Amino acid sequence: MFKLRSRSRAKAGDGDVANKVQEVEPAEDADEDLGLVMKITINNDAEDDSSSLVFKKTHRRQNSRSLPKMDALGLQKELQPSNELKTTIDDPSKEEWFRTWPENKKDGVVNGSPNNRIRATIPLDQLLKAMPLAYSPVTKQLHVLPKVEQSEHEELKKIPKMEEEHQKEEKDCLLSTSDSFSSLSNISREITLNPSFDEDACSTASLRDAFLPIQHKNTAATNDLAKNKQTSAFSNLFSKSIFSWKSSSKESGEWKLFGKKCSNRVSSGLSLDEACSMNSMSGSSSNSSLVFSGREASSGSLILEARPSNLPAKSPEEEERHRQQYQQILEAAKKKELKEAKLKKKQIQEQLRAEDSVAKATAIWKTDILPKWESVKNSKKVRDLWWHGIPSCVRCAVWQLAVTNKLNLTPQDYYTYHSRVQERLLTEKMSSQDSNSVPCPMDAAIKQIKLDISRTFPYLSIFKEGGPNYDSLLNVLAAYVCYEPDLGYMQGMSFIAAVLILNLDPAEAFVCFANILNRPCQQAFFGMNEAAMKAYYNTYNDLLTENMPQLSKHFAQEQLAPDMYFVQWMYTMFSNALHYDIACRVWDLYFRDGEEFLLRAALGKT
Amino acid sequence: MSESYDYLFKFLVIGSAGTGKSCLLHQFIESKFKEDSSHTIGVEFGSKVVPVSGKQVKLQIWDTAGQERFKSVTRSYYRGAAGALLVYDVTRRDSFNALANWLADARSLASPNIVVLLVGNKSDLESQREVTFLEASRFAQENELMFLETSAKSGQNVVEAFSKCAKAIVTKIESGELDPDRIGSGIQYGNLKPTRNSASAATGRSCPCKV
Repeated sequence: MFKLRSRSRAKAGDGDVANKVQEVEPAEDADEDLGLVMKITINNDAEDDSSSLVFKKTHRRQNSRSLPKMDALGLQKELQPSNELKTTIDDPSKEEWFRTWPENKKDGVVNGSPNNRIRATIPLDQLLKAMPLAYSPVTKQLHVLPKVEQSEHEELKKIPKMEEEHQKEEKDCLLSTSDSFSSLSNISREITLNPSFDEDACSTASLRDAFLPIQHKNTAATNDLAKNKQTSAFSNLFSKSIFSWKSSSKESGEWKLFGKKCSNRVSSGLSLDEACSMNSMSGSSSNSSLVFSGREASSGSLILEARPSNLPAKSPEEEERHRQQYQQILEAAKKKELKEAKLKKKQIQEQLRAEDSVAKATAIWKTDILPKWESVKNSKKVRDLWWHGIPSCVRCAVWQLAVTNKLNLTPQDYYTYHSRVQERLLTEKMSSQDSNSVPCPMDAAIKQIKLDISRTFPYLSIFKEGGPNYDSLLNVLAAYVCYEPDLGYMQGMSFIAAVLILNLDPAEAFVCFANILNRPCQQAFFGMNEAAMKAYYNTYNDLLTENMPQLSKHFAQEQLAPDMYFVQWMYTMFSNALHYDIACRVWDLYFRDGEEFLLRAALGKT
Repeated sequence: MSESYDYLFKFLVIGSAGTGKSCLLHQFIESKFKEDSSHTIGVEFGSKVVPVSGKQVKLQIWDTAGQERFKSVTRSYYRGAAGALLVYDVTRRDSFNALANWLADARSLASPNIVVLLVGNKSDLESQREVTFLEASRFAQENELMFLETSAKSGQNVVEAFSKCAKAIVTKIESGELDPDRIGSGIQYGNLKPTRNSASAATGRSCPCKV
């Protein structure tokens, strides 16, 4: 079997680059199937010159045998695999072998355009014929021989200076292998004796021509990168022919999988070899090292491949598409993450800025405004700051100052009224047993207050029975009923008192509450002064007609009167209709501008 | 609003504060009990189309504030109501005692022909009951009212209360007892039925936001 295999390799090398590619990979440990497959492929593709096969084979055997003799360095390398490994590492292009094949191929795709040009310009069979190959008995592999001919030298001179620098680095190598070089060129000349190689000179030249742009391009990058790209580009060229060939010779799924990945690898290995030959490297030394690394990579690639072995291999187009899709998904995810991070950062910055401005405003309010309230309260600066909202921690002080205390109430008054209420509640409890007692209007008010407290800002849950602010709200409202029995309690008051309690302590809230309700607007509504209420409605309606004539007309057409919606805003000072924070902002400005601002808020005009 | 209907009735929900008027409305519209309900200031609105005797009737419901002191404000809402749900709380006798006042207001301010259904709400709180079913039904009989006990919490009889009241109005229209064309009847024609008063019906439907 081994004999057959080695023969087939020689044959393949003459006929088809693809076969050659296949051959390097299996090495010694390949099974019998491999040999069979190769034999078949030879029959398919390499029939063109069977007569010359034997001749070539023998020659190559001789050549490769003579190689170690001719090149001391090469011999050393071949005999000591550890040294070879070292060279593998030293050579930047070997990095390719430790990468997974999709990446490998991706590189090829990225740099695929020059390859396409090659494909377009050089017929494959010509190209393959032009490949100088030799069999090495040590590695049991077929190797590409460096071909040093006149035309090639000329082409090499054209390589830009950077490439020359690259070559300089390998000058030592070049010098030491110059002997083998001449011998190799002899070999290749021997090969050209074969009649099928008549066009060798021109085809090789054209092949080199085709590669030069790639090399030229890649020298701009580092040596590693240059070689990687070159080799992968070259491998792309080979892999395509392999796949088309493989499709005709598919026998077992497992082999396909194995062969596919390996071929990919090995093809790049071979192309690497080609690159080495162009750089005047010792062909045998690099080839032998390739065999080792190729074996490692092929077994590793099986593990890396996620595709189950019982499934047929993907077509190259499908692979390419899947890879692109995968890349797209990755890119999209990356983009999304970046965007989210950016947004979050922005939000945090905004929050910090807002907090910063609030802190600054608080300091200004505390140090500059509150101590000299009376003198600065009407200054433009204060009013501007006021417009932007009072920081919640100074709201308590500002509201009390802004509402003023025309009624001259003191916290002490609150406690007086509060104790009176408590007394009344006690006597009510006692008299409740006596059914004949006439219900006092205050009792009815307190009953109503109790009913409404838990239904004031119910979503906050703090005014519910047993809640933290239930008693304070009850006390403030009850104290007010006691203080102003004529006005008493009316639904809507609980909302106003609740907002005050959320900002002030009960005694302060009571004083503030009484003073707010003493304002003309509240007096009109809570006092059920229908004429005054009507005046407010009319003012609002006039403003609405003036500012939003279409809406006003529509409301009129639908018979939607202000007393159906505007009345609620006035009774609660927007605290029921608006969110608590916004309601507080409205209140800030109501205390600055007066009832004019309530109308402005009603119209949504800033 | 894409919904179509034969009639639109203006409905009132009246009664003392805290009897559950807003919760009744919410249960009727949303089929849910509103736990965190705040007390109504002025009036709030709701509307729903219900099938009544083979007709689609849109109920435009005005849920009014219950406090006695608000009456001067709520009085303006009564005008042109076709039906009313007069609500009391079965656990609070004072809300039952106030019914006569509410009824007088409804009949004088809305229309003497207003169809009123007495609703004893919070029927789920049986243990706290202060007003018996018999007592309330006697009051209803005396005042020519329909009567139902409901629970806005459990949803019991809520839809029935609104439907029953609407059905009574439809019956009155069909018997000729109620004239939808009379100004202030609280009844408008919908877009389903071409009628002799299609012009006014069309104007009634001109607004897409009309509740």
